[in-house]
Amino acid sequence: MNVNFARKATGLVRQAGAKDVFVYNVNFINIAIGVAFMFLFMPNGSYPGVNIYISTILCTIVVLPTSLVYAMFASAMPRSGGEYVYVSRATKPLFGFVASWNYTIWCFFYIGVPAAFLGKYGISALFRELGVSFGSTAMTNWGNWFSTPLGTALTGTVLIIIFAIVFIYGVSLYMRIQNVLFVIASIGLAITAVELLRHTPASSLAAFNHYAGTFTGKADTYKAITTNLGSNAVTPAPFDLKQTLIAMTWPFTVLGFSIASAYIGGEIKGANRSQMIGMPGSLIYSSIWLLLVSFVTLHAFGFSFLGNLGAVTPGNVNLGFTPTFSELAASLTHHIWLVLIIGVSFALWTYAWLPIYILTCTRNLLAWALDGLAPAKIAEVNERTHSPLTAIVVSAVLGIGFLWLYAYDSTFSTISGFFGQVCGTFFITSIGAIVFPYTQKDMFEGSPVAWRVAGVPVLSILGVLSACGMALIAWAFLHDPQSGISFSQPFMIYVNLGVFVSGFIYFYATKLIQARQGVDIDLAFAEIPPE
Amino acid sequence: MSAPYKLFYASDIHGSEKCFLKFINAGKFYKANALVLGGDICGKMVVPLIDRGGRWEARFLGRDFVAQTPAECAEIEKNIRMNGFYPVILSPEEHAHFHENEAARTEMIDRVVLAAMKRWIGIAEERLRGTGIRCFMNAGNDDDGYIDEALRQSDVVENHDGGVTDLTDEVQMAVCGYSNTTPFDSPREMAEPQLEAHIETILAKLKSPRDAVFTLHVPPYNTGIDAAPMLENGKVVTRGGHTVMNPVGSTAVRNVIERYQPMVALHGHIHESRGTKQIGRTLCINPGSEYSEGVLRGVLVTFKGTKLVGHQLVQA
Repeated sequence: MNVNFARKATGLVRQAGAKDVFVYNVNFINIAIGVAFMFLFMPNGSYPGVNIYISTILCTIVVLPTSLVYAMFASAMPRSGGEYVYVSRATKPLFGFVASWNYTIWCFFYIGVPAAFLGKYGISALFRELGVSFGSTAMTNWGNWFSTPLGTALTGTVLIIIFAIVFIYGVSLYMRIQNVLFVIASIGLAITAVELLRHTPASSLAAFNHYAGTFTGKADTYKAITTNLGSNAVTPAPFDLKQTLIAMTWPFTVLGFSIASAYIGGEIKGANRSQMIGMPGSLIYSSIWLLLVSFVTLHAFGFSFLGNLGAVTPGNVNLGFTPTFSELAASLTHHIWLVLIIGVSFALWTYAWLPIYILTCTRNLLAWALDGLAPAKIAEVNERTHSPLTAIVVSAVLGIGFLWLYAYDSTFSTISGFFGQVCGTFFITSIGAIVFPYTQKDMFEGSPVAWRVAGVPVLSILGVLSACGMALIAWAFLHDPQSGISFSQPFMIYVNLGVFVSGFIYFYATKLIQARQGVDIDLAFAEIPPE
Repeated sequence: MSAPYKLFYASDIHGSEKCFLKFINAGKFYKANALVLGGDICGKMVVPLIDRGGRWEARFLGRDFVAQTPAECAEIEKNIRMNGFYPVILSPEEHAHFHENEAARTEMIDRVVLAAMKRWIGIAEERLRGTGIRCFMNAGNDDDGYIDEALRQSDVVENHDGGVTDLTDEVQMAVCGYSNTTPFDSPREMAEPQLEAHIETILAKLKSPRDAVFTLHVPPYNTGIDAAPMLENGKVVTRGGHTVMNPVGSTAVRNVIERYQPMVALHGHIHESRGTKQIGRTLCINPGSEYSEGVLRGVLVTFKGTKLVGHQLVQA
């Protein structure tokens, strides 16, 4: 056996491993909100012939190459910063910055969106569940209030401020809190699934009518729903591949983001194994959970019921707001503790993106500031709390701004921001993966992922597959009647384009300003020839 | 009126020949007056190429490498050096001997590291002689004592560890490669009181500490540029997938910076804490390190007279 000989030196320690990467990414993927979206939007007749299982499986297959691209990049360059590092080195710093800028701007937006989810889907449902359990109309009305734009925005604002304060007092405090909450949320989801599994559509329908009747005032709420829908009521249609592909946008909202650990890559040594297992592993694990929870939800309520519930305008039948799968599960039981566990655990899932997006934003802001692409003040670390105070405050303020925009402007109450992340960031990173083995030959060859198939770098092959996959997802977004972005309603296309192009403008403007102060930004990235 | 003086500072290249060659070339590339390599120059691992009679085998970066010709062997040696390791050709018997005998192994590692250092000094002399670019290199806590002597023998590379040197008529540089104690018992460590006394001895040689550049390998305590992973029983502490960071800089270094308020303080030691920190009038800089990927992280510091006029973190 060929053994190498180590000197006595510092730094030979173990750090965050595959398990940690896995937990971090699963946390970010957000299984429960994924299932909630899938059943709120997929069966409601917008995709006739859709098969939820096949759509989820196809989405997993389509995004797997992107997950592997990020994992291999993280192995080759175990640095924090994600595509800012990868694309900068694979292509040019300009493109790395633009990819990072694009992702970060949408990250600011998605600090606000999950904050809105807490009120809109989490607390609103919890209050209504408790209102029904205790026979309290006031609590049910409070639930309705939390789902209004004002309730959503105010709840979200408080949540963002709480998380900003937590982060100001250190990431460590967040980690302690999040570990506990993640366990509660996961156990709650499992209990929710078991509760759903115990019922059939017949028993579920009776339980739902009993539950909903207390606030709709109707003896048979479901019949009122189908009557209200009339000829638009959902009926099962033969399988349609195109519609199933288009509907991938919904599982994509969660499965497309198994890459969160790329942004903390510098903390993960032995990155090869950790990232290669942690990123695709979390994707496949979450995908299986989506399929399992989808199965039990369909088992309990059936496709038509869920479709009609999603299709009806809630106000038309005194529903207030559309129940998610979690609230439907809570409607199946009279045990108050079970209702509490289901309701609270789902509420904990609703905002899971928020803290990780704050972390991603602050880290990206720090990286830009150190490279002279953002004011130096942003990179300052507070001595008392050891946290980047300014970066956290900037992220929180922008997140709150986007939260109110999301709550009050229906144009932004869609998933169209994901389109920008797909096209402006993941696609560019895929291109970076294709060229990296050739533009950074030494770095690639010296990396633990210098694998080849028939002489072609595996990273390049995955880059091609990832680019194709992202192109397919982009196509799905543009053809999805519920994504909020299409050629027939091009406003959000312009917004996405504007965010992307503004990255170029910002880069060159900053370069000009710095040049006037005698700083050549290009020097920050220029590689010195070693020979 | 004096002309601007530009200094390029990097640290912690840990044996990466690619980073070293970039460092030597940085003077011309950035049009710098001086190059400063602030410690932790030596690598951490010797990689044997086992000679099996015209066939050489090595294993590094988690992969097996086999050379069938001397040219291929030389290519693998170069690859090993570029990645921060030291190649050594051994017979299977020699390899087994060093594997089993710690004393012989240590002696062999020291010999290989010293030879590599002398080779680097030779490259520096060849590329920098006559250019007018001054080159300062000092050991850090990870570098053994024999490195100092090798550095002092050069007429191009200057080693002022434990002392001071004139950069210009008005600005001097004080150099200390020692760190506070670490969990790793590395070659150059001191307890905080001893470290503070040692630095004080060095600073006493300065004409004007306020106008000086401090090159102190370890960063000041609790400044954000000294955040390293928290360790428990040799294992990094993680929560929720995140590494828990804590300040590990030196209180001694912080004390002397607060006391003397130099123009700028240059540090290294903590690779993952790239950044800057203002302590009073002193700008403290840790450019970080990415030696393992062959990326040279550094900082360009420009001063005019005794006034700091700019700095820029770079990754070459």
